[in-house]
Amino acid sequence: MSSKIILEIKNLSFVLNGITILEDISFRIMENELLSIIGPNGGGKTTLLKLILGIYKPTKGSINFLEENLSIGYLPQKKSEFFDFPISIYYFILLGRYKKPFIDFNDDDHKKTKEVIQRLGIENILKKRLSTLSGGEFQKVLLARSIVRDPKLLILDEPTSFIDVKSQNEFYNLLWELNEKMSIILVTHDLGAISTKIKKIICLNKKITFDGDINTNRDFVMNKLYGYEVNIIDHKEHKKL
Amino acid sequence: MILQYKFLQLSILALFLYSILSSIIGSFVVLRKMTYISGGISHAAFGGLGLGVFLSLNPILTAIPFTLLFTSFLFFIGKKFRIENDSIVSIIWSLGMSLGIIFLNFKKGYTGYLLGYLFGNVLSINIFDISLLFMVLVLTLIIFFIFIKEFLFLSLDYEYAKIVGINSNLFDTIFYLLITLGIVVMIKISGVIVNIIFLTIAPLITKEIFTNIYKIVLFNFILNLFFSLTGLFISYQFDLPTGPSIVLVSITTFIIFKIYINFMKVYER
Repeated sequence: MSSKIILEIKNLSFVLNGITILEDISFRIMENELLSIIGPNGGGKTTLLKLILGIYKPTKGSINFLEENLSIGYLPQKKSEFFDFPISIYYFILLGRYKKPFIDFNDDDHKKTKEVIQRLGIENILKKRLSTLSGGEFQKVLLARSIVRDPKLLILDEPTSFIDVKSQNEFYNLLWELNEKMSIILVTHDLGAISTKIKKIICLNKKITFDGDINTNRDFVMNKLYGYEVNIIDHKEHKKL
Repeated sequence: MILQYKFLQLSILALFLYSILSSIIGSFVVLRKMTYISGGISHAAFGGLGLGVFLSLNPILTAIPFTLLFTSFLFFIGKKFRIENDSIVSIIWSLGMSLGIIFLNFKKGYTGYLLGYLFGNVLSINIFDISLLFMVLVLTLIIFFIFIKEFLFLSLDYEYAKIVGINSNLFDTIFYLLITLGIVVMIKISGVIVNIIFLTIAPLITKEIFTNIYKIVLFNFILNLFFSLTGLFISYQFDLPTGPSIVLVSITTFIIFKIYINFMKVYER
C-alpha cells in the first residue's frame, strides 16, 4: 500500500447554534485505504462528512487534502422517492462529471458515463424514472454518479440503509473492487459488513472514542461506543471474500 | 374575422411571448418546489404596482425595483433572525398586498385598475408592455440556456451541486432576479393571482411525461399557448374576463390529464 496521505484532519471541532457537535477530531486516511466511521445516531458522523465535503466550515482545526482540488465522490443518505424529478438516469449520472460554468460535457464525459453504467450493470434501468427505482437500484445509480468523476476519495453515508441483504452484499462487493483504485470513507451501522473487510475504523460519538483495527477486542470497543452490549453478526457472503 | 382588430393582434403577440417566458420560469419554479415563493413574489409586486399608481409613475416599471428590494430585504431579515422561509413568504404575501391597497387608497380619484392587476387584462396590452416583455424574455432565454446545467443541478440536488463546485449563492441570486423580473412583467397579462396558476399547471403536466428539460420547456410553451389562446377565444366569444377564462381552461386540462394518468395506471396493473 502506498504511504501517501490523501486526507488529514487535525484537532477539528464544530459548533452549531452554540452546541458542540464534534470535538477535537484528528485522523488521516492514506491512498487506497478503507476507513469506516461508526457511532450512534447524533454522534456527528454525517456532520463530519459535510465538513470534509466543504458544506460546513470547521469552528476549529484543519482539514487538509493531498491536492488542492482533490476529486471527491459522495454518496448521500437518500431514498429514491426524494428524487421526484423529471431527469433521465443517464443525465443524472452524467451531471456527476460537472466541471464549471461554460464548459459543456464532452465525448470523454459521455464515454466515462457509459463505462460506469456498464461496470455497475445498470443499463437495463436507464429508461426508468428515478423515483420508481428499488432501493438497491437507486444506490447503484448514486454510486455511479459519485464515481463517474474518477474520485481519489469516495465518501459514502450509510449506503445500505434502505436496501435488502442480497443487494447489500452486491453493493459491498462493488465497493471492495473500487477500493483498489480509490480511498474510501464509509459511514455505516452495518457492523457485520465492516468486521470482515474493513480493518480501520473510527468510533465517533462527538469525540473519537476508538481509532484502530476493529478486530482488536471489538466487543469492548462496540460496548463502549454504544453504551450497551453489541453482538456483531458477520455477513455470510462477506466471509466468503 | 376577429384578428383584424389591432388590440387582438397585440394580445395574441403578448400571449405568445408570455407563453415562452412562463414555460421557462414555470419549469424551474415547479422543479425547485417553489410555487409558494413565486406566489409571494407575485403579491409583493402588487405593492410596487400600488406605489407606481400612487406616484403617478409607470406601475410595472415601479414594481420591478420595488419587488426586488422588498423581497430581498425580507429574505435578509428572515435569514438574520432565523425565520423559516415559508413564514417569510407569508409575510411578503400579505404585506405586499396590503401595501398595494394602501397606496391605491391614498391616490385620490383612483377608480380603478385593481381587478386588472389581480387577474390581468391582456386586451389592454400596448407596444411598451410588449417591448418590456420581449427584453425580459431574451434575457431569460440567454441566461437559462447558458447556465442550464447549473440551474438543473441545483434544482435536482442542491447539496451535491454545491459539492461539485457550483456557486449556489451566485446562481440563486440570478435565479430569483430572473423570476422576479419575469413575474412582474407578466402581471399586466395574467395578473397577480392568475400568474401563479400559469407558472404551475403546464409544468405539473409535462414533468410527469418527460425526463428532458428542453422537452419540458417546449411542451410547457405549447400547453401555455393553448391555454391562453383558448381562454382568449372563450373570453371574446362569451364576453368573459380573459385571465379567469385562461385559468379555467388550464385547470380543466390538468384535471382531465390527471384522470387519464390515473386511469392508465389502473389499466396497466
